[in-house]
Amino acid sequence: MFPNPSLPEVAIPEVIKSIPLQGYILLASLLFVIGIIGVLTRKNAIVIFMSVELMLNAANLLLVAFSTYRSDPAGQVFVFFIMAVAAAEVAVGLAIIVMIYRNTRNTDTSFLNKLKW
Amino acid sequence: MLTLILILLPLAAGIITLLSGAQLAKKIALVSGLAILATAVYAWLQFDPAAGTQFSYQYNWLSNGSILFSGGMDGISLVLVLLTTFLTPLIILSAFKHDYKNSPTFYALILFMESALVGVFTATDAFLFYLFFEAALIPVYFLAAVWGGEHRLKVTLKFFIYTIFGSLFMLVALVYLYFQTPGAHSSQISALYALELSAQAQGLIFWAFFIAFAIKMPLFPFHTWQPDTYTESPTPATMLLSGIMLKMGVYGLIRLLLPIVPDGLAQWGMVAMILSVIGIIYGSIIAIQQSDMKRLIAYSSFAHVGLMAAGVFSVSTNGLQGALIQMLAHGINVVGLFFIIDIIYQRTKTRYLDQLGGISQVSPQLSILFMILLLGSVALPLTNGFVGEFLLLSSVFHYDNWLGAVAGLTIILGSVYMLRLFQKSMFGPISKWVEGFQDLTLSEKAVLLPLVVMVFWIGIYPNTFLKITEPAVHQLLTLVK
Amino acid sequence: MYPIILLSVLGIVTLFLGFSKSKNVLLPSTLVFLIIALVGNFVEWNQGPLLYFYDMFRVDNLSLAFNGIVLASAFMIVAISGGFQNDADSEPAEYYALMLLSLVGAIMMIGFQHMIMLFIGVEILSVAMYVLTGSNKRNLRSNEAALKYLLMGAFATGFMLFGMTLIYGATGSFNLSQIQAYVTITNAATPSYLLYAGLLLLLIGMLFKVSAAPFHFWTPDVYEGAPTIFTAFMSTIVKTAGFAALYRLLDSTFAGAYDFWWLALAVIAVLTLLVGNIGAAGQNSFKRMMAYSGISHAGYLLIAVTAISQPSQGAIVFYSIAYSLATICAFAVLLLVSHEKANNEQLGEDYDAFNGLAKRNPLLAFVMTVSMLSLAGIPLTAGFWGKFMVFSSAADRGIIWITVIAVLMSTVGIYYYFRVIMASYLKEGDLAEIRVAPMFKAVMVFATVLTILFGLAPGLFEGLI
Repeated sequence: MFPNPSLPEVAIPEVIKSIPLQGYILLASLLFVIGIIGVLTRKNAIVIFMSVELMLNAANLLLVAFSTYRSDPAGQVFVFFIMAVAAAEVAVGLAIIVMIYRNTRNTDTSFLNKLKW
Repeated sequence: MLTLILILLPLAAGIITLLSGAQLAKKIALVSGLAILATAVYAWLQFDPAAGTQFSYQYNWLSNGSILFSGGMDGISLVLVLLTTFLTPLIILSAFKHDYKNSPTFYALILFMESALVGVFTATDAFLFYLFFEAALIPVYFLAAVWGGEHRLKVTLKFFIYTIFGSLFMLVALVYLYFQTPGAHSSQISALYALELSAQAQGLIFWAFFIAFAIKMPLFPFHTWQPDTYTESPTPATMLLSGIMLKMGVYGLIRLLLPIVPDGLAQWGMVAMILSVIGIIYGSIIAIQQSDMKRLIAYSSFAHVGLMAAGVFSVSTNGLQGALIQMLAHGINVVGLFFIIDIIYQRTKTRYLDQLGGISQVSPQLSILFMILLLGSVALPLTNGFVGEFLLLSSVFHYDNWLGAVAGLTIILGSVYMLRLFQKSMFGPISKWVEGFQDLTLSEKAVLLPLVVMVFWIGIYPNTFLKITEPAVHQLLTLVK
Repeated sequence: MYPIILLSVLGIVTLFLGFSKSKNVLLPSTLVFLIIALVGNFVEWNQGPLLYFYDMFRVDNLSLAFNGIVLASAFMIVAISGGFQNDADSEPAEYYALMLLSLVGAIMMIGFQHMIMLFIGVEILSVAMYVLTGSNKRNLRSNEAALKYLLMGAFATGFMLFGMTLIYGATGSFNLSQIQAYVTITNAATPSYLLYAGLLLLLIGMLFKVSAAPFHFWTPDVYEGAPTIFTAFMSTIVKTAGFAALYRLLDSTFAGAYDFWWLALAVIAVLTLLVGNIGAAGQNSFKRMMAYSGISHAGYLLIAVTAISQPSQGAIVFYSIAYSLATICAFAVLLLVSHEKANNEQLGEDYDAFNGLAKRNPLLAFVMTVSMLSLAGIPLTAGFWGKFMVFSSAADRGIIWITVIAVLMSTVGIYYYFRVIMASYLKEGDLAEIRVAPMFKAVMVFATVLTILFGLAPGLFEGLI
């Protein structure tokens, strides 16, 4: 179904190897799509935010999988970066949501109508 | 070098005018206008018709010398530069009696306009041509939009968008042509002449150029901006628009369209010709029905420019020479006519023919000068209009008998609307609007007399100017064939 | 590389300066810091391509030029911020620190050689901008804009990351030169769908950031809601950095897959032009119009990216300069004529705010006119040559049809840009004179003079790069 990228023949832990790479790609894509759907359909800002996190974690999962299959640490290092940056983003994001909550007592995006959406 | 001076002088004069006080501004503008005219006349005296492009300047501009800031004058450029520099001081003088608010800006814009116009007529680089072509719009837009009539906002915006819209097509065509030039590319107009383009490309480029210039002139059916803009603009802006700016379009046809896309012309020339001839008849018929004098002249101008375009599209010596001499004649006549209408409007506060009448009885001088300019416009022999119209009609006849016959109606229709204009305003009983009408003042005469002199000069001895342009026209035609 | 280090340190220093009693020291010191960064930037001019941080960051003349644009724009924007002294709730030290630090992100985006660098750069820039957008805490419009920006930005980041992941999966590397090698050699032989999917997602993420249609819908709201000074920051710096990154990504790295992405990008460019120009024509708020105009300019820049070639590089740089200069001027004038207050009412940001500007302050009217003419691409201004270069680069590639559409759209542009000019010269407004601080005047005159200078002699610019 998915083309198998040319993989070097190196030692990969047996447990991981027992699931083909396509499986990881499929799972991550599924999570990613669920995240997109969440962002597009939900109205509550916090739920939207969680959906975005789901998208990021889909990427994380896939990165780890690729990294392990290739025995290349770069992917896993990237995951750490993503986690750190996502944490920063969440900090700012929650601060903004709290700020809005203080002003409107609500976190629903449909309340945001001062600007033409 | 002389060319560059002719571009920079008005620019500098404009800046000085802008910075001077309201009283001084008009005087500075007039004096510098005359000085520029003197420079142009000096260039004329130095000019050698046989020697091709002269007084050239050239500086690197962009892309390491493949796009140049360069210009120069051949015969065709020279006559148009002369026209521009001759009319500008007269236009400035004609505005003297008005109290335009913010007058330094007003006169400065006229001078900036002159600079851009000279730039258009002398550019030898296609992109420089385009730059000036567009730049000329900005001052005239502000002249019309700030000092114009009641509906100026809508009308001038339409005018601006319409003309920019057209010329952007020309820009696309020029960019395309530029990349067709061999080697490191060149945007010199002469380099574009040398291109060998496929028939299809020529057809497309023909239309890109045609739309740009047809909107500027304007030709049927791209004329809808013109009557409103002419009517709403203050008279000096109308004079600039009709007297000089319109010629940019015709000049563009001669300089760019004919020599660059001769095959395109062969494919589509007939269509362009028919559109031009339709314009002649259409403009004349509408002019006959007009009651607003300014609108009447606007439509007559539309009809005249149709004939010039038809002459150019006939691609013959007669056609081109006729178009060139007619550009001079038309510029002179239309500026004079607009000025006389402005004088009448200033005194009577009306431009409507049915409210006027009997002016010749109270103001004989005005009516005589009016008559002369008017006869020039209807192409009576010995006046300037005759030479051009004769050459143009003969070239159209040569191209196609039927078209020539239809275009020939312009003589009849032209005399109908012009004489109607004259009769309704000058003869008949003195209407109540006309009571207390003063005859011409000194400054008004100072504007009209030079124009009338030129009417006769070109009418009686057109060779002065035909001689200048002839070698350039021949050279151009060899490129087309 | 120096500006990254300098700005990181100086940003923190600015934060500490906030503790001092005197708030007057902040503005001048920030300006000095930016000048230091500018000087530090051009130290490496003509040193050839250099790689730093374990080959993750690249310095060449192109990236230095983009850095220069970004830093100089930041300098001008900081100069017209006026120290945020008319607002009691403001926290100038934090704003300035965030601006300086966000520039680090912009510079990382411009010079990235490794996907991690791109990701971190985008995030540093974006997170700082989320905060600045919402900096007007009591204003619901500002809150709303911040939240929308945050959600959409994070959403876009998700796409970008997933794209990077897939590209990593296909190529086994995050490094641009290795990806390039893969694209030109392996992928050319056997195309990898993983790579194409990754590239597509990455592009979607990037196009979100530069607000290209159909990923533009957050832009008008965010630009309108954010405090004007930060709108200026967003519309110039974020856009320039975004296009620099897009160019770096597509020019060399994915040049081998040109046949795959060019048509998609061309369609997006056309769509962006349509949406931007037609959207802008329907606005009554000047600020919202500027947002749509920003979208339409993204469209022009995308044309240059689509036609990727030697001339398009110069076109993007020049266009960014012209656009930044004009936009900063426009927002500077808007700042002066609108009365920004911390309330939820419609602010004085409509076209009407400019009525009678020529009488109230002729200089402002002139500055506004030049900047509008430049944005509309009328000759004698830098904007014209920007458009000209973009069109030439497309013509060089032989993509004429896209140029024709762009030309049609720029005619629409004249309509809405001229509304401002007409309002300032031809309509009557209230006659209170506007006082302009010397700093404002200096920035506006400088930007206007440069706009005209580049309009008359664009060759000057070629001597620079």
